[in-house]
Order: sequence, then C-alpha cells, then structure tokens
Amino acid sequence: MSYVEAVLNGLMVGGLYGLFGLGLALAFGIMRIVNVAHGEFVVLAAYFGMALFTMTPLPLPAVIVCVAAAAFVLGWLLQATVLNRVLGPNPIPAMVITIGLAIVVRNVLVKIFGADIHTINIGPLQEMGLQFFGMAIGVVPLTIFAIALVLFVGMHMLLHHTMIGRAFRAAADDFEILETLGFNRRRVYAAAMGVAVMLSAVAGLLLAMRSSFTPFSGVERLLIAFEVVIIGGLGSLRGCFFAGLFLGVVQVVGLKVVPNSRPLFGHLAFFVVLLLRQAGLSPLLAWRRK
Amino acid sequence: MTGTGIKQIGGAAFPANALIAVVAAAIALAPVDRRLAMEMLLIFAMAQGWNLLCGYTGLLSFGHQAFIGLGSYVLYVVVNTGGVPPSPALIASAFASVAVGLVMWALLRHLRGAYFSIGIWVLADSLRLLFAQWEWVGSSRGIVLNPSSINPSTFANDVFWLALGLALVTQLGVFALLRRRTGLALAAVRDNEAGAASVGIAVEHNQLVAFLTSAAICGTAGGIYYLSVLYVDPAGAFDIDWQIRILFIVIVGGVGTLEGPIIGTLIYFGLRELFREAGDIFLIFQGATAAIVMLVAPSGIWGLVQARTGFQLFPTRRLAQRP
Repeated sequence: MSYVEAVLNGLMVGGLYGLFGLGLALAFGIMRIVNVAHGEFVVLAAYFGMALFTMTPLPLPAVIVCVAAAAFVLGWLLQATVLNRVLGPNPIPAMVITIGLAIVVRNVLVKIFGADIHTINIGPLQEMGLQFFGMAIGVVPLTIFAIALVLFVGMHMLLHHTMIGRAFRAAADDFEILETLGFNRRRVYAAAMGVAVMLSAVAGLLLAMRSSFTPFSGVERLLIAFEVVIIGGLGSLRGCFFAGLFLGVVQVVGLKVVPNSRPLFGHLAFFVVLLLRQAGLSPLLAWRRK
Repeated sequence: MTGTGIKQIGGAAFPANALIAVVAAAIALAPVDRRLAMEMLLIFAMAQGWNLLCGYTGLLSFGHQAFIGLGSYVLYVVVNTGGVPPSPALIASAFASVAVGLVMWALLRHLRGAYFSIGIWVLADSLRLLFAQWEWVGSSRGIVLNPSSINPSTFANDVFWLALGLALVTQLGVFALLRRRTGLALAAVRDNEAGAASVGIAVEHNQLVAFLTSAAICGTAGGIYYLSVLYVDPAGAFDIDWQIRILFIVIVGGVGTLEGPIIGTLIYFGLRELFREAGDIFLIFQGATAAIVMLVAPSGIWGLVQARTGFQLFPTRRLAQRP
C-alpha cells in the first residue's frame, strides 16, 4: 500500500470517524451530556448487525435499517428514562451513569459473544476493487464513505429545514425559550439522543464491515469521537466531517509508518491541535476561513 | 483559623486522628491476610486521592490509571537500572507522577467539565500505547523486577508496611488539608467556580494542587502495588479497570466525603470476595451499581448517613460563629 493509497483509505475511514464525532457532539451540544457509553453503543451496533446478518436472511441494507431503528429506540429510551433525570449544570452524574452503562454493555457483550475478534463478512463484494492510476480502492470503503457523506448532508437538512431540527438547535441555545414556544424539552432531548445514537450505530456497523472489532473496541471509538469533537469544534457539522477525515488520514498513515501503533497517532494529532490552541496559534488555524 | 467570623470547624480533629491510629494499629497487629489488606489499603489510598480531586474541586478524571502505570514503571526503571532499593525508589514514582501531572495540566488547563474528563483519558490511553511501543521498557511484554533488589524473606511484610504507611499518610494528609483554608477554598471551587473566583480564591491554583496531590498518591500506590507483583506490563498497569474500581468506590461510598472512600473500599472488596466465582458478572454488577447509585443517591452511602444524622467522622464542615 503506497502512501497515496493510505491517505485515500484514511479519508474513507475518516468519514465514519466524523459520524462518531457527530453523534457525540449532538448529544453534548443539545443536552450538555457526554455519553461515555457512546463507544460501546458503536460496538453494540456492530454485534447486533452481525447477529442479524448471519442469523436472519435479511439483506444488508435491511440490516442497516434495522440497526438504525433499534439504535434510535435505545437512545430515546436512555434519555427519556434515565438521563432526563440528571439534567443540569453538573456534568458528573450523567457521565458516571453512562460510564456505568458502558461497563455493563461491554461485559454483557463479552458474556454473549466472547472476547474474540470479529468482523462482518459481507461476501464477494468485500474483495471487489476499482483500479485507477495503478491504485486499488475497494468498492466497500468507497460505498461506506458515500453513505457517510449522505448522512452528513441528511443531518444538515434535518437541522436546518425541519421542525425537529430547528427545535434541536433552539434547545442547544436556550431551552427555556423553547419551552415557552410549546415544545416539551424532555421529548426534544429524547429525540436528539435517539438521532445521536442512531448516527453512531450506523457508523459503527459500517466500520465493522471493513475492520475488526471486539467488545473492548468501545473505548477506542469513544476517544476518536471525542477527538473529532474537540478538533472540529462543537456545533459544526462541517468541522466534525473534516476533523474525522483528518484523524482518519493521520491514523491510517500512522499505522503504515509504525504498525501496531493502534490509535496512538490520532491521540498525538489531537494533542498537537490542543497545543496549537494553547499557544494562541488558533488564529493561524482559522486563517483559512477568512 | 479563628478570629475572622465563620471559620470555626464543627468538631475537633483529635478523635478522628486517634481513631485512624487505632484502626491502623489494629490492621498492623491483627492476624489479617496481609496480601489482601495491602491491596485494600492501596486501592483505598488511590480512591481517597481521586476523591480529593473529584469531590472537592469538581474535576472528574477518567485517566488516573496513567499515574498508577507511571508510578510502577518509574519504580521498576529506578530499581533495575539505578540499583536503588525499592522503598526510596517510590519517591521517584511520586515525583514522576507530579512532573507528568504538570505536563498534563499544561495541556488540559483550558478544558473543563466533560472535556477534562475525556481529555485526560486520551492522555492515559496515549501513555499506555507509548509504553507498549517503547522497546527500552520491554514494550508490550513489560518488565520483571530485578530479584536481587528485594529480600524474599521480609518482602511480603515490607510491601504491606509501605501500603499501610501510604494509606495512613493519605487519610491524615487529606483530612488536615481540608481543615485548613485550602479545604474551604476547594469546596467553594467545586460548588461554583465563577463565584469562588469572584471572592478572590485562586481557582486554578487550588485545582492544580488537588490534581498533583491525587497524581502523587496514585503514582505511589501504583508503584507499591506493582512492586508486590514483581512484574509490570502496559496492559495491566494502564488498565482503565483501575479507574473503574476507584470510581465505583468513591461514588458508592460517597463522593466529596472523607468517609466515603473507606466505606466504598470495604464494600468493593466485600462484594469481590462474594462474587469470586462470578467473573464478568461482577464487572456488570459493578457498572450497574455505580449508575444506579448516581441515579437514586448521588451523594453515596455516607452522603445519605450525613444528610440524616449530620454526623461527620472526619469533621471538615465550618459552622457560623455566633457574634
């Protein structure tokens, strides 16, 4: 694999990283809740999708839709039954509750599926590739990237052109005004968490078709999502997308330079961005946008 | 302490300190399983250190396993390559934790709330991955302690005494710290950062002091623990399970109370012995319990006791003085 190919692969995996970040950012931006179980939900979606795909005759697109629907319900229920009870300025209760949930999900997955590495094998399509300029790009990564792009555009439409999307944005700005307009804040929150978990679940399922996962992959996914949010800036769809691409490229190229480095290079890139911000160099980073 | 109005503390320190001394003597003299007692004392010290940070400054850290790992690695390197005996080498563990804590603080100082919690987790994870890559410290295989540096006949007792000493110093030290002005300042920072700053409390300075103290305690405790195991590897020493244990103990016992971590440690080890055969079920139970306690009794067991009775075993609360 040449470096150009590594960069292309990084971009394609980065689209999914962007989605991980978007799910986390949505919940944090609107409810001020950091869902520490985010990564575990991503992995849960992969296992659920794998179980559906291997045990039922459903075709792949139907599996994706089922996982998305189940994830929406899970997110909705989590917010409506648990997290709506701990709203407020103190972030600690929600984080402790969701880290508890993360531990439960992780170990239940170990109990059911074992600690082994799994992948979702989607058949002959997996091997197919497109050749151009002497490089091979898999059909599956390309399709996955396209789906990620569609989801980003879809989220943009949802947030800007629908009633519930406007309610999400209003809730992020000022929930009291939102309530005077006749919205039920808790319902809006539940819907937002549903959408947030759904996005990450679809991304998790898609990622599982191109790389392996274990019940312990959740932490890595959560940290990636978090890095995307910090690098891209909260409340910016475009920021999430590009931060995802950036992290994807850094990670895949990093893995090529130092095999076995796992997400180390993604972490390091994150610190570099943090340091640049600290050193007051953010004007440099923002310079392009002027 | 006295003279300026509302700073009288509602209870003397002597009974609590005497109680600590009695308990420590009982642990030292009673025919307990010293291996288990050592582990309990160390995990208690880590929990109390973390509680100082979370319960008294409101900084929720998900990355204190970083200091446990660092403390143990520094101990091993100092003992194996420097030829220093293990006990004094622990000082290096504490110093290294403080030094790395300072670097972490420089990176994280503008991150608050959830950003801090997960930012430090990323740092801890990076350290785990770095140590797993670093050939000089054995990469992912880890290091074995040089066997000639210890005396096998007294070794089990030695680590027990170190653990008892650390737990004692931690409890007495944190208690004394909270009874000083610093304690009042820390609680003010936790309850309202902006408000505390507006009455002249150096918010960041106080948070930094608590952070570095907790780092030093966890680093030393990690060093003693891995000293007793004679072997350290990155997957174990930087394991997030350390953090989960600490979190469970502090949340269930009562965050922001000095009594909480003691109760939490007793409950944790009681349950662990009870669920010895259960394996994963214990972890599931641990996660679910922390979540449920946060939901129904966010101040933990000791918080409930305190709300009902107003009793503090370790009095740190200030009472308004009558004019």
